[in-house]
Amino acid sequence: MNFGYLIIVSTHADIDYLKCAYAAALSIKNTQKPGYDQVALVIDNPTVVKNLKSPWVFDYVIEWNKEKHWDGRSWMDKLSPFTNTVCIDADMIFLRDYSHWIDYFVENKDLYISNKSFTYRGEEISSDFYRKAFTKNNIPNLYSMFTFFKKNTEIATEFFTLGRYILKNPTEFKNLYMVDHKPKVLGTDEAFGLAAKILDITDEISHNLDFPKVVHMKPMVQNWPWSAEKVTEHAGFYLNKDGNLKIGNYQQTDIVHYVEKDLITDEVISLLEEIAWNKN
Amino acid sequence: MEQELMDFDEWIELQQTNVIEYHVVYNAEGEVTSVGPSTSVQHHATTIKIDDDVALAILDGRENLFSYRVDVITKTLIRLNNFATHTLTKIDDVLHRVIDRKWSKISSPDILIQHDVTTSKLIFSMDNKYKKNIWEGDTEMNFLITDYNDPNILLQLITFKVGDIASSDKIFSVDSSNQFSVYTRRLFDQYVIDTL
Repeated sequence: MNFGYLIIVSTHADIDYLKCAYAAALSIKNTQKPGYDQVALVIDNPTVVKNLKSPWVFDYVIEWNKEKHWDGRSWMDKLSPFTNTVCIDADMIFLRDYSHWIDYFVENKDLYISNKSFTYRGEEISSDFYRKAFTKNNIPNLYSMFTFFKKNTEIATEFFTLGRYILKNPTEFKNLYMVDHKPKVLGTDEAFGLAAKILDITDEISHNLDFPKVVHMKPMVQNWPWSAEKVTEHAGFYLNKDGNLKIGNYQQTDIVHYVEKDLITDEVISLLEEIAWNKN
Repeated sequence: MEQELMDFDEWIELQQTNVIEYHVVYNAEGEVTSVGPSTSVQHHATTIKIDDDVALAILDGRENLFSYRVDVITKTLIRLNNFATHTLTKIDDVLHRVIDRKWSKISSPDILIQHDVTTSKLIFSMDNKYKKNIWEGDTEMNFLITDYNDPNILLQLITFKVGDIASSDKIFSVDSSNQFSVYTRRLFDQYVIDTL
């Protein structure tokens, strides 16, 4: 089986996405078993990867600069060097072996996109605070942060081609399909949701499963009785020397999409590097 | 009858030299009783000149008059501190991790903790800029010695009054066989731990 994780980043004035991708790749190497721990990085400036202490955590470094920021993720099918790929966001951290999820997808699916996320306390997120465009316009609630696909399959090719077309023509698609609530920015999640709806393949590519489980640390969907600008204003982020993570007093075992990029400090990187060096 | 105007150059020179000096009035115990321009308090026997910033902060209501007293012997204004210099609203304030010097860009922390590994001691010291203040009241500083980066696992609790550390460093024994972290209620802005 040829499988790997794909992370697509580009240079940003204020956010060090490479640092986030490096933390994600380290955590993948630290937790996934051989055959499930390959990581490919797509980046506009590959020379900076050499400055990392352990650039070897990226099995592939692919130079690509056709799109900026999240729009690049819609090109995942063209960019991945793997036959079977899960494309993830850079600001995610892996905490245990998830290879059994991958086995299911490789065996059963050509394309699968996660359709739910969880609070740090393990509750399924039901709030549409950040996703009113989905609920108001009856668009499938897809999260591109965990997208599995098989390269060169018909459904994946058709889906990503339409996704790219939507991202290139956001105004037209907003006017056609998002009349009840137009988002300021039509992002990858919206484009993927629209593509699934237009192609009428939602049940095929995002049916209900107990996995993947991704904790989404956007503050206003944590089922708190108060408003918050950041999750870490109210619950601490505690990564120990074994790579175990607690948020507040909740031990995390699923993938954590931490959102706040500054949580990946030099100290956190150092912890993850030490685990990787001891393992390999 | 027309009023004769002052020569402009004389007037502007007068304005520029007319600098307001602020004074506080204090009693025999050194308690500050009022503050104002020197011309308005000159009839009091015991006054001292104070910084404009302090005077304006009191007059604007940003500072409390009773947060200060005068050292009668040296005739200097002293700020009294019996409350936090940092607001305690976020988790990082009520459970603040004291960052290791290795990972910190803070050069002169308000509170420095030195970890002497050879003697297994923690030495707590306060920056000199706060030592000249008088720390009154029962405000306590609490330090939680915990598992490394996990305040859920408490190993030891160290507590002392703010005034204690102002007068001299405080030294406590600690089990340093395993790496630990120090968390605290963030009364001051900047804390650093240094391993010796």
